[in-house]
Amino acid sequence: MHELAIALSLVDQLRRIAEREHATRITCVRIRVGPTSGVDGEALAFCFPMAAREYPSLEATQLQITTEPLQWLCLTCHKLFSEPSSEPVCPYCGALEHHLTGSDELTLESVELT
Amino acid sequence: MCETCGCSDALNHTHHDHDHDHDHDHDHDHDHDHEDHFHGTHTHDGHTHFHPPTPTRSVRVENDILAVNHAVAETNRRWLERYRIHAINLISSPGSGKTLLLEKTLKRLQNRIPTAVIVGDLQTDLDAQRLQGLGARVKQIETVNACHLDAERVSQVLPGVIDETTRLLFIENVGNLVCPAAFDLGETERVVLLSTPEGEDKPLKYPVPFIKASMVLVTKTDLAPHLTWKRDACLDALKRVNPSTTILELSALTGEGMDAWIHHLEQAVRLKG
Ligand SMILES: Nc1nc2c(ncn2[C@@H]2O[C@H](COP(=O)(O)OP(=O)(O)OP(=O)(O)O)[C@@H](O)[C@H]2O)c(=O)[nH]1
Ligand SMILES: [Mg+2]
Ligand SMILES: [Zn+2]
Repeated sequence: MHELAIALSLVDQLRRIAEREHATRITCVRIRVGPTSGVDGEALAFCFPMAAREYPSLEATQLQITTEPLQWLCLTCHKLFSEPSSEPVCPYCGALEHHLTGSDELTLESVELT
Repeated sequence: MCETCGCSDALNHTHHDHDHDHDHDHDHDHDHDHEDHFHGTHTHDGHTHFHPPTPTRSVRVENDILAVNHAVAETNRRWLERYRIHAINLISSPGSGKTLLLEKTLKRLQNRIPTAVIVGDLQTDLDAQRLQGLGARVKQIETVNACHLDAERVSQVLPGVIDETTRLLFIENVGNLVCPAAFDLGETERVVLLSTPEGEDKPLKYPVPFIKASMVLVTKTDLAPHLTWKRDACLDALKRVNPSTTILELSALTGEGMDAWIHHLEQAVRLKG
């Protein structure tokens, strides 16, 4: 589960922020997970407490993860749509050519601290 | 215990009574002691009460969580660029045929293109052993528990496996279709293998590695006649997920389709000068 490795990087960044901000606790962390980042938001949330263990400033920190679904981009009309994989036509123009798209970002957006 | 976030010291922190959906966008770095952060009103089990307000403040960060991996990957990439080495990150499910493909590839490139190989494996050096004696320098990375290679691990072995004569580097990632996709290693090209026994709809079920692949190798084509594998459906699925990827079909066992792969490697090396 590579999300543990990612949670460890996140914890490193959070500890540095807490130090820089002279914060005693980070109460809340907001994260954006792009659909092509290869990271599963739920798995990341699951791993985070393990990675944060032993750091008092990260005790009971709440993770707010925003994920967006993958979308299809029609190569003919350039519209985005989400669609069950069994129906291979664009709902707007009926074209057959489209591909999956989505951001690959994995961003620590903001923190809430005391 | 606080129901909102599950933490144990409900008295020592503050929640907004709204859902953190600030309509005021913080466009500056430090947004200290905003008035909104002092609501201590809090709803538990159907009743509302008030916590002594501990001020919390928001700090906007906007950091890439994998910044360290990306930075090391960029260093690897610059290094490989300086040595004019074409580096291929090979990703697939366990057993899709990465090592056999490399065995056959090294045999054909021997004495023609100076090649190096880094092999990531969970436990053993069996794959590295299979690749010995074929004219390439081979280095094993035992990842122990990690299901993927990362840029740091690659950077540690890189100096020992390439030299000024090296033109081509293969990095056989840990057999895992999902996890390695998140980690840039500094490669020039990402190649994903999909073997015929895995089924034709795999790109739709696990799209991310295929979206990020510049080339997909459909491997073990010799097995296709024994399977219900439908070639058209497989190629359709790949093209739907990523229409710009190059698809090659081959069997490392019989050699069918290997010429196009070798030709691709020769061209990639030639382009590096
Ligand atoms: N029939 C057939 N079998 C193949 C082919 N390529 C690989 N195999 C067999 O598939 C099995 C797995 O092949 P490997 O090359 O070890 O696969 P891998 O992707 O390196 O496996 P991991 O490193 O464990 O992820 C071996 O028994 C190979 O002999 C092929 O083209 N045709
Ligand atoms: Mg192998
Ligand atoms: Zn359309």
